Amino acid sequence: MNGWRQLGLLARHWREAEDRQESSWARLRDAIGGPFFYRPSKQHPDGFLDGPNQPGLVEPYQPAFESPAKEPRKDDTRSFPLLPTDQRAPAEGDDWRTIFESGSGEDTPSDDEDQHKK
Amino acid sequence: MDSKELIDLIRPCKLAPTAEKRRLLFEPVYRYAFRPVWTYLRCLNQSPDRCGDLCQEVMVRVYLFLDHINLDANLKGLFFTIARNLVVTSARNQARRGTGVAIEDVPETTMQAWLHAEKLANAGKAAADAIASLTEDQRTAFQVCSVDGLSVEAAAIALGWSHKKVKNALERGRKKLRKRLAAAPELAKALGLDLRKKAPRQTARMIS
Repeated sequence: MNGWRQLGLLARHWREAEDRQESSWARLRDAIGGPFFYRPSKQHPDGFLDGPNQPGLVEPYQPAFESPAKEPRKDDTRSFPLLPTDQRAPAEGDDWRTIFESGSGEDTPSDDEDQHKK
Repeated sequence: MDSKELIDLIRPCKLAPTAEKRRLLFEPVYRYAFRPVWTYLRCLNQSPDRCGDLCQEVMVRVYLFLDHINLDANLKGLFFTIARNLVVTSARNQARRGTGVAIEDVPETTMQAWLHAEKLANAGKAAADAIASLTEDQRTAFQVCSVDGLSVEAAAIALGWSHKKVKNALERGRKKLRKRLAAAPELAKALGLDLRKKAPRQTARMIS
């Protein structure tokens, strides 16, 4: 590989790490302060001394700051069909395809109305 | 930083009586190990997003098992072993699904790997500093031509610049980089860069 290209790639990788180091630490700091990490161990059978899993001893853990919102992945192209607000709630025996496909906002005649017409 | 200094960082975390104190003491460990672990994972062809996730996973595991870490053992190797095992597990899962790299492609964890990753991380800083010293035009020309591999003609079309402007910016940028890299001859040697000034062109008359 060309030496200049390698130099550029080295710098690019270094900057990638630089960008992520702080945000990653912010998330990790919140996580390791959370209740997940205060479970009892062999050394500390009652949990850590100030762990929030001991009700009554300490106040529940309050994160000092909000961790930055994770940006959505660029390659994540999933999309989920959303039910329109005026859609009737799905009942037992409904075919799921009809629930999602009839999302045009038009009311579909219900069974009761059909019976009245008859 | 050597192994002794790493032990000095981890020992207080192990002995900290409260979780809050542990968390504060753990920060230097994280900052010390993040870059080598990141570089190692990048060497294993992991994407930047995946590297970020795996780095966090490594640190979480080290934090969880602080009480069980043997300070007499090879601590640097511990970080890489965890990272490697995570990659192997992930590769195995991907292999089941028929995607991803083969497990055989994941190299063994050795002390050499850590040293290599540390060196690469330091080299990356030197390279980033050197490129940051360029002007914006020079940096753009260098990125497009030298890193992305476009020819001067293609870069001129892509950037909307004249052919001469791209060529000048690229040459001046490389000249500046040569000067900067003279302070880091080992890096230049590893990259196979010739830091000497360009040899004068031989004209037809000189050859004859």
